[in-house]
Amino acid sequence: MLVSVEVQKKAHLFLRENGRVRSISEEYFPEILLYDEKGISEKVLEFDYPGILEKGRKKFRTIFGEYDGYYIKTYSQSFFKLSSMVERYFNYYLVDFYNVDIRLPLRYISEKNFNYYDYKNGIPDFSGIEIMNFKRHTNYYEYSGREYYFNDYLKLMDTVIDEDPDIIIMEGADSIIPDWIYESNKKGYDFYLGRMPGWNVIREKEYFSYGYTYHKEMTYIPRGRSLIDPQTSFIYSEGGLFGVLASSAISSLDPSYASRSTPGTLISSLEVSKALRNGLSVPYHKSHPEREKNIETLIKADRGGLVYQVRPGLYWNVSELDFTSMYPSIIVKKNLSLETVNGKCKSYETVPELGYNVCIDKKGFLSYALEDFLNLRIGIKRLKKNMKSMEGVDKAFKWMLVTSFGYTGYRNAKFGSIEVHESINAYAREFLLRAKEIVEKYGFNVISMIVDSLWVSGLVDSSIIEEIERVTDLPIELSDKYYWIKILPMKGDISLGIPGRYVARGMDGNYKIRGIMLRRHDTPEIVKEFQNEALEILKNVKVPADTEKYDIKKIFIEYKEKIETRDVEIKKLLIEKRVNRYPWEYTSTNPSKQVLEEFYGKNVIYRPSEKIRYIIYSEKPLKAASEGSDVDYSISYYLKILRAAYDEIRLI
Amino acid sequence: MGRNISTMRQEINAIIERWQSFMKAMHAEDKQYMEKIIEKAKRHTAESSYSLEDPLEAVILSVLIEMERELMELEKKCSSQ
Repeated sequence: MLVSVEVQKKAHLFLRENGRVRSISEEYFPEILLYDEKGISEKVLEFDYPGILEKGRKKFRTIFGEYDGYYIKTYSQSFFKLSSMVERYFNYYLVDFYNVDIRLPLRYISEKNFNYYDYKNGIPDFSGIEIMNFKRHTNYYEYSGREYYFNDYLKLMDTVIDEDPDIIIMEGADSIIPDWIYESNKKGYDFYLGRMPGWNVIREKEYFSYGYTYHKEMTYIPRGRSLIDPQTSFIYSEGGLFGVLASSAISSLDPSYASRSTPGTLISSLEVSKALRNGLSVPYHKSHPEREKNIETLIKADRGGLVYQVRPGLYWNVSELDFTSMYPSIIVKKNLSLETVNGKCKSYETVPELGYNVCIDKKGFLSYALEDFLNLRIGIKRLKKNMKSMEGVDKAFKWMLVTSFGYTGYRNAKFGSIEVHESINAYAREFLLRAKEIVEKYGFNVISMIVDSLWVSGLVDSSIIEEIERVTDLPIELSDKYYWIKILPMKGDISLGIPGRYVARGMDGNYKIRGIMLRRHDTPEIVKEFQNEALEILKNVKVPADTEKYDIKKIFIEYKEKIETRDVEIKKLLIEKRVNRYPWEYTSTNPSKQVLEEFYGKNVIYRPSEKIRYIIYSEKPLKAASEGSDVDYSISYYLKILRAAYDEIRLI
Repeated sequence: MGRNISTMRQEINAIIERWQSFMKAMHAEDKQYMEKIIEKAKRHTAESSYSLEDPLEAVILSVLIEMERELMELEKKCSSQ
């Protein structure tokens, strides 16, 4: 079983066999591949630079077929330097490059067809992996009853090297290790936690996503084993250790890297690895711009998933139907991929609404790459009901599959294109509508539809589910049944409902709640308490006749009296808000501004994104004072909020 | 994420904004009708997003459907009396 790989001067593999770890070193000479239609890449034969071992002609395969191009063989150490020199030599855009931007360990194990961990009966098997889990305290780590103070890192190092784990879990490692390395260097110690001295480094980086700029610090990774920092790992926080290991197994990334990657990086690594394992070369910048289309197609194509206009109100006996992993299933079932959508071939299927032609006489690469993974996830989803350890795996895989769709629309996606993205959406709308037609044919009413799920008024039986599966060829499940669902109106327009605000009482005994005051951060505690207490009573309501018996008006009046008689602790009335401006940047005098100015007067400046807490002491005009101020709260204001909270959840 | 074109919902809101400024210039006693029409115009945005290209077609259709609904409800009321 492979536990770690690194590629520096040589490739080092660390394998665990019969409880022992063995390391193998091997020379590795990666190749840069070039191709262009006009034959410009021939000039590479004249190109000279230190680090080139060999160059010449080479036939290589890509998803579009075989190309007769050129290759340059290099030392692994000079690979990235050299590829950027070659790019510059060809002015970046004259020639297409292949396999040049893939992390070398990923490339190495994919080309040699190694796998992290083993599979047993089709699911990843993690038994035999040695794990050290350090528990973090304020100034020391704890492991099996022993304490390692933060300044005693050499003792920690000794223990790690003695125990020789494959994986270290250490909360806050990414922020403390640089300090340890710095101090040990100054004192002349050789500090490391790997199976060899030294560290691997993930460089610092800044990136921009959904309107925010993010910064990632430089990270040190031990050599020959993996280090997971729960604080910096999204996958760990979602799927735990098994989630990290499973995503590592599926994406061929080292657990250290897998744990620090986004689901998007994981899924694209999976695709790249699948390509290399099948002898396909991976383009650097794909030369596949968005196809010209007329304005009508553009308008039709530039739509997302289907969302139905819900009508606010109370609905009894509701079934929820969900397509399982709908978008990835569409990619797989409809053979969608960069080379099949509007590709050249003999037989086609036409995408609804858009009229794009999709090849069906050859398997599309993206569809192929996701197929096994999708089946694995469906298997694991079934397993997790009896196997607790699979829950994290399922969650990690779910995130990866969710991203697999969005990533097809990214301009640098290796195996997707905007047309693939549009086709997935078009199929999804079509199938959701077909499901709606089937449900309506049997006399049920559809209350709400969102992208891949339907709420149906009435109890749907399995024959309808089977019919939808037959017609759409996609897996769908009856995921929940509800005694009642209350859909709340839009704030600005009470006759329109929105899909994101509802209270649903599940037949399994749980509530599904979205967008009511209970869920908002700026709701005072007393109001949340009221809604919680009231919902506990409403849990007993199963049929319309129960509403009289379990009326929550009594509780409302109780809380109302509490507020009126000032029988409420001040801390339960605090409203918490995240500030998004400096006090002088506000244009209206809202509570946030008032409180910020109050602090500003005391020479305290809150920065945007910090939280403030305040209490309202006058309703008209609205006046707020910070936490701890000596004011009497405004009864009318808090009664107004309580009333709104009552209206949100009352059934009669 | 970047979109090439504005959504049907945004287009419909633009039309409604235009209608609201139209309403400002109306005689006070006529405003109530316009208000009702604006309300009706927003009822079928979701379906329009799915199938229509012209937002003007979408709002007019929406108003017609809602008027038809009112008409039928009135007919029902009259015949039951």
